[in-house]
Amino acid sequence: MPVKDTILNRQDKAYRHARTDVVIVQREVHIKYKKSYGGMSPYIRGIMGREHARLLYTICDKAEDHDDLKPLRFQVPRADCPECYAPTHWQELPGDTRFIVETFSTAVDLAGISFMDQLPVTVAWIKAVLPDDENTELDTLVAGMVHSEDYKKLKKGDDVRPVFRKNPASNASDVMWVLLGTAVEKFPSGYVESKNYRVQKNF
Amino acid sequence: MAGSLNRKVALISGGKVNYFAKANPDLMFYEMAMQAVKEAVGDLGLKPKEFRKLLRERGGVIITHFADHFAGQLLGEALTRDYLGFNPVESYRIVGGGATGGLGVQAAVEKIASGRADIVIAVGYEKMSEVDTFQGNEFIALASDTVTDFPNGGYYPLYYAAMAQAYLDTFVGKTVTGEEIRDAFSKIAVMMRNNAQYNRRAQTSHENPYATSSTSGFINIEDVTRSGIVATPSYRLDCCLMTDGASAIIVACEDLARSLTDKPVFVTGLGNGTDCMRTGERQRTPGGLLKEELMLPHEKEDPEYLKLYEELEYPGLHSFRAGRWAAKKAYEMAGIHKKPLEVFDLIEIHDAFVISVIQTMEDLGMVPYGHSAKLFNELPVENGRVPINPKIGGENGLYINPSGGLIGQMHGVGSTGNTQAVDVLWQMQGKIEEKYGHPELQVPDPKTALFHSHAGTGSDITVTTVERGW
Repeated sequence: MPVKDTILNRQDKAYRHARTDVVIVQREVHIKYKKSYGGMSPYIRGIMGREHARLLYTICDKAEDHDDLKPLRFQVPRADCPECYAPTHWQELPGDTRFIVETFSTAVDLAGISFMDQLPVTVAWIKAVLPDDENTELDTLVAGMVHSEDYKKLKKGDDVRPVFRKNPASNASDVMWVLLGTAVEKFPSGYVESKNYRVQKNF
Repeated sequence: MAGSLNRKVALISGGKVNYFAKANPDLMFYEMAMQAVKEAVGDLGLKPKEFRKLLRERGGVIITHFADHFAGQLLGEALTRDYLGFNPVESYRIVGGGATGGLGVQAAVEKIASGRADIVIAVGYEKMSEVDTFQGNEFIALASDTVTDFPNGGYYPLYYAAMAQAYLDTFVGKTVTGEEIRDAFSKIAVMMRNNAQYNRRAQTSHENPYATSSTSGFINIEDVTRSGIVATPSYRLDCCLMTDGASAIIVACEDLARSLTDKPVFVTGLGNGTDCMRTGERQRTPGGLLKEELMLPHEKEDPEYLKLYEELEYPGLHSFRAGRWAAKKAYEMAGIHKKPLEVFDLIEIHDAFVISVIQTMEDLGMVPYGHSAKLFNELPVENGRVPINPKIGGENGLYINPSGGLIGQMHGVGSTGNTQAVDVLWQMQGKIEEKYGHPELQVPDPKTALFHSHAGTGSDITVTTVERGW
């Protein structure tokens, strides 16, 4: 962890609040992590698939051991069930899964340092509804960035579709979301449609 | 017995840094802690040597700070206790996001209730100014899942704003209108900020020498919506502060408490609730309040509550199940069965954002879910301002955050819950004019109070109830 200290120029704004003759240094710290996604790795590998990307979730079907006596479906996926501690099983979300905005907000003015040059940034919590007879919902919502022409028009209940980074960064932002029917030229820069999840398809 | 204290525990003395500040480069974190501890010990009429002797013979130390990143220092609690001359007394750090301070106070109470110590000092601090605001926002956002949520726009005001949107989508048109909620948001922001103008140590106080002209002084209702959207639908003045600050509170067993002060404030209830850190994983169960037996005693007796709660998808992203659990447990321990709005004279709650006040009043059972806005809509407005330290909820109501809370006074994360415990203690002991420099924020003759501490987007929440002991 390299650490570098240099005396701070007294004109720096950090000195403005001082009421005594303090010494202030600028300290720079550089850290590199080697971070494993562990049991979640299949999910990350799935969203790194560019035009062939897939959205995976996990299911635990030991309903009798769950609080509500129902199977549990997780996206964000988890390798182990939090209710019965059994290992979960991987499933793929079918192409005609509906993805629906449950809630959202758009950061307009301030953000963390990583997103300051990307504002406005919209984040939505998205519900996945399986195309089965019961319209089964996954038990969790997934948070993701939504790219839209006008964030002010986004609302709860909107149908969105996933798009995937053409050059994956190998993190959760390799999937972003656009409104159903969004034209390719309106996709976020650097993101493409997956053959497995058509953006134009009507449901 | 589970859910009870084995012996009585009292808050007896508190202290704070001389001034909360957006940036205080004059003091390192343990020097801020020294100011707070010096005040808390001095107010007991003890010399530091006498207090340290008590700690060595009968005591313990809890230190709370949130993020090692802010000071760039691991094990800062050790440096703090060294600086305060507490060695070799048993001491450890408690941490739990934004609830760190509140958890620390509860740990101090539990240490005494268990018999492990007769007197404990809980010291909280945070020095947030050594990184710039954008970096600070990012550090705070690291308290979301860094694998799944942080890479997607990680920013806490956005997380809360999304919860505000969920609240609007859940309750507008059913229990309240959008205009009523926005009106309540602005009144809450003005109430907190303007209360702080009568608290000379508050970060936004016009009397605080560390305050900047652009971030201090009174505000009007229209200032809030003129302050600019930070994250839809939240405005800049809807949001809390980032603070350099410290505070300390001393708690003791009953006999020692009574020998050290004639105004002990006894703890009657402790509650601590949790929920998923990833908000998307929280339950969305229709009738969840009933199914999980989360209704409070006074709610069970009212058919209107039952009707409302049978349909309400709970907690969803609109409410904090952790807060409701914490309140329920604290009230059970304290034997509170009546309407909390009429039980407590004073509450200090974690107003990280104005929406959190709306949500928390409902989690605490002050009003039914979806109905908080009305409490604030009732406040009169004169010259663009609500009254200073207004009583909320009518004649039998209570006072909320006379200190100015996180929006007006301070939010130095590891200190915040501790600071609010000190505020409640000073209120109960009638010390507000002495400590704040003004009498206006003194709640008249408070006998029962509550302080509340909150982490993340509601992942860890504490509720502590107290009563006057003389």
